[in-house]
Amino acid sequence: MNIEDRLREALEREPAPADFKRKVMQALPAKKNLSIFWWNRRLSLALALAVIVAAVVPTVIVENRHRRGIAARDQLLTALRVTNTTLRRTKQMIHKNTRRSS
Amino acid sequence: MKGFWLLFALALPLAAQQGFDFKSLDKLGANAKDVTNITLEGDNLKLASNFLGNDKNNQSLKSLVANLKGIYVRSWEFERDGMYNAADLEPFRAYLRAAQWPKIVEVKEDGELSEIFLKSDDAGKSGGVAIISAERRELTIVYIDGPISLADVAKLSGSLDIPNPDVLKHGTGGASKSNANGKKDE
Repeated sequence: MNIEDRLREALEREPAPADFKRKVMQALPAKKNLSIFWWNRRLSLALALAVIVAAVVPTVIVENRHRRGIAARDQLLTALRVTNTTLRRTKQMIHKNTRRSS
Repeated sequence: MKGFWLLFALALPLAAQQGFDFKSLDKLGANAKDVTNITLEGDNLKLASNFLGNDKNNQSLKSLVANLKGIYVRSWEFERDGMYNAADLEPFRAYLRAAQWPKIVEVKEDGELSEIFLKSDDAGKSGGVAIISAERRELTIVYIDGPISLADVAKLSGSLDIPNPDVLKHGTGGASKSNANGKKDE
């Protein structure tokens, strides 16, 4: 056999094996399953994150509101104390002046 | 010229309705050792009253505060005499005059001055109280906007024995008493 014949034989088109198509089709669903697995995993992670955010955010808001409320109440009480002190001082001045003039 | 003065006279009460800009008083405290700066209005005031306790004393305080529009307190303590310019109080007095808050008390004694202004609404009810107390080393301005009388203030802040907020603190911020640098005293 000369080289030309050997080359022709090597490059000759061969029909696919009988179960080739079946093997390819079997391989495809396996890939699809893997993709669903990853999507499920991502979805679970997103859900877990959403649950954490849903649990944490209201707590932070309530805590923040509580802190603001306490600070505002303290300010209110301080304001009333200052007002009271100022009024008392004014009252004392009025009394002194009244006593002096009488 | 006549028109200008007429416009000016008309604009004064209008400006008074806009509310006083308390930031304009900040220069009074430029040399202050201690500064108390409290502004409570709107939601913040409601929030403050919601956080008062539920006992009998606090109930009357709550009902009073619920009707108020705003509470503004500015107080400055100075290390020496004459460290503030009394003329800087004039814009506040002018505002009170324009808003028709008549002065009901003025007491002068040894270089100290105390003034009380009381706003009356059309029905003759008290619509607010303003106090200016100018001592040698301490200056205090109190402005309470809303239906409150002097008797209410005295009753609430006097006989109810309002505690020091520090006692009530639960490890939180507190009133904005600050030093001259504007830092809060914790």
